[in-house]
Amino acid sequence: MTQSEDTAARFKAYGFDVQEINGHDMQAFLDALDSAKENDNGKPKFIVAHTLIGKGIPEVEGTFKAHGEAGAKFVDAARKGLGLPDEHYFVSKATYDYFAEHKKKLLADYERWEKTYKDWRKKNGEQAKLLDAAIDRKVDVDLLSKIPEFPKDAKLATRKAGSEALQPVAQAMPLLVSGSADLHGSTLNYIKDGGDFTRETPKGRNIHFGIREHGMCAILNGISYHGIFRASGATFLVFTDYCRASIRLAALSKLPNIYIFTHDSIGVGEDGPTHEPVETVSSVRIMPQIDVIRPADPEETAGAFAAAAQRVDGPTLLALTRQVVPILNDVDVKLRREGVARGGYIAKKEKGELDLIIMSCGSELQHAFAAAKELGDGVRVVSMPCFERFNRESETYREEVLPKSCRKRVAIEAGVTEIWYQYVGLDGKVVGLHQFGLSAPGAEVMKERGIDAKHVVEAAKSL
Amino acid sequence: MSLNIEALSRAATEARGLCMDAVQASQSGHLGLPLGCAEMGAVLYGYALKHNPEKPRWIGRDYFVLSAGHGSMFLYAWLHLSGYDLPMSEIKRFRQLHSKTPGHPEFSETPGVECTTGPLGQGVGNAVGISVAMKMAAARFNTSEHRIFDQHCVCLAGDGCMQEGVASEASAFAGHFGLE
Repeated sequence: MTQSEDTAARFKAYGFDVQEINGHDMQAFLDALDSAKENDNGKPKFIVAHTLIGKGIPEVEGTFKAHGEAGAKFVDAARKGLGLPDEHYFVSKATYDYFAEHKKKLLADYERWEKTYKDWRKKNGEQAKLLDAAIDRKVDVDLLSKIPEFPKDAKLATRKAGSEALQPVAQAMPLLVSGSADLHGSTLNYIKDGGDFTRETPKGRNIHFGIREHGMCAILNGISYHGIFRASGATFLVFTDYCRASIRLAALSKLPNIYIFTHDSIGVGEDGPTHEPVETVSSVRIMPQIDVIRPADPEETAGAFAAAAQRVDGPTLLALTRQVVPILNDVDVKLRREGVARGGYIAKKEKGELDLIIMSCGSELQHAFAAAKELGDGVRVVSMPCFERFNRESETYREEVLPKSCRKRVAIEAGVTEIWYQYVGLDGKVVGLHQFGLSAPGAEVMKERGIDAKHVVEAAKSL
Repeated sequence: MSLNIEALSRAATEARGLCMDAVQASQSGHLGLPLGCAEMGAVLYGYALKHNPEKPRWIGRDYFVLSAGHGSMFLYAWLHLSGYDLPMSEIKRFRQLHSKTPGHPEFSETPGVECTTGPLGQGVGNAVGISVAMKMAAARFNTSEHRIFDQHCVCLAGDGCMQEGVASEASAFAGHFGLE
């Protein structure tokens, strides 16, 4: 009903070697497999195996009905037709014996390999150590200490700070590979001195995925499933939607992928609403088992890269800005860096009695500070770069940062507001977006959409 | 060496039986692929794949990715017959709570399952990624004296996988980078 293309021709066009066989002919399948393995012609191999779907149940085989369980009601007759006995879950002794014999051969092959492997380990001690750590997913380095502090007068976008944080992390983690969907020049996640992954240079650590975001993320999953390399990839954050199906599977499978997604808000500006994430960041936050970190300044970005690389029980998405953000020198460097790993932290403590909490993350944290200054002594500013990490913290810590006694709370983020209410509560307010962005210089779009300190002050005063 | 066609045909028939019984018992699941691909399963698990049922995560193994993940009983039947830690009691609990035989294959739930698949086409991308990693690992760790990474990735994908866009993206990438 829906497919009439010439699959063989299609895969030839992609550069595959293509063979066509009858998929029920075991010898033909083996011959095709063998020739595919032996043929070192620099091409991937594709075997079109023509098969009869549901073969063995005459009532449905070869039809769409064979796909699911529709054939189940014919099973009794089908089993008889195949010559199977009445006993269900039947496996003959002959079959178990065949596989037991085959297993002996497999184990002998394994033992031969193991000899080579042991010899390799003896002669390549450092490499063996590296491989062991990779297989165990161990990151035994204090990555934060490897990332130099940024100059106090740094004027950087967090994507640029990310580029600088990535280099020492990549140096400390030789099996970290990074790629971009044709946007290295913008996502800035190129591993300097890492070389490019090409046909001729498979040691290269920078993978050029082309404009294939979904493919990139499915391939990153494959690299992680393989189990030795740490996989990271980059694109514009708004294209998360192209990637989502694969990101979801990475989260479900707890793969430690790192997504370096930049241009994270309406701050993108001129490219306009097609390229400006509004609902995207929060839409990933509601996905289980993935961390979304949206750092506010270069030092938080350093913390974010370290936290992402150190997390091995699931993926992390880093949401980074296109535009320059101020470096938040009023907050201690160590606090900014280490605070990220806890997901949320007190960036500015109130003087005297606590009257109001303003929370934010990413490029909007600056507005929280500006508003706090205007609103006076009793205001606390909480930086909340990663909701998932914060929610994993102890109740004591969370209470320390967001004490229940203070119900006057305002949050600001250049994105949809709903998810912030878990922290802001019924008495608080969120300054955010309820519509898409605009095409204009980024700062003007932010202003036009009301993402600034003025609106935080207004919201606070209205409580 | 030639194939023991008689033994493998018998295995294919019995694997078909296991799939029919499991799907019938759970009153759900997918028969089309496990039945349609039984001969290929017999060749792969009964002869061609390099793997170690005692050490499913052996780094030198061939990787088998079932991109058409709805055909999960295909995998479970062949993993069981191959001697993985997947006893018949788990086949009998196909698709039941906390079994090792979930509706679609799930990574780290079942020994010998390489990837979580089911959303069609994803496994094609996973197989391309595994192939990238194999190529990188061979380049980084093999020496002139030792070939510790010398392996293949085999992906079984159906018409549905071929229809998904992600398969096109990943396949174009594989062709461009010559992932053998």
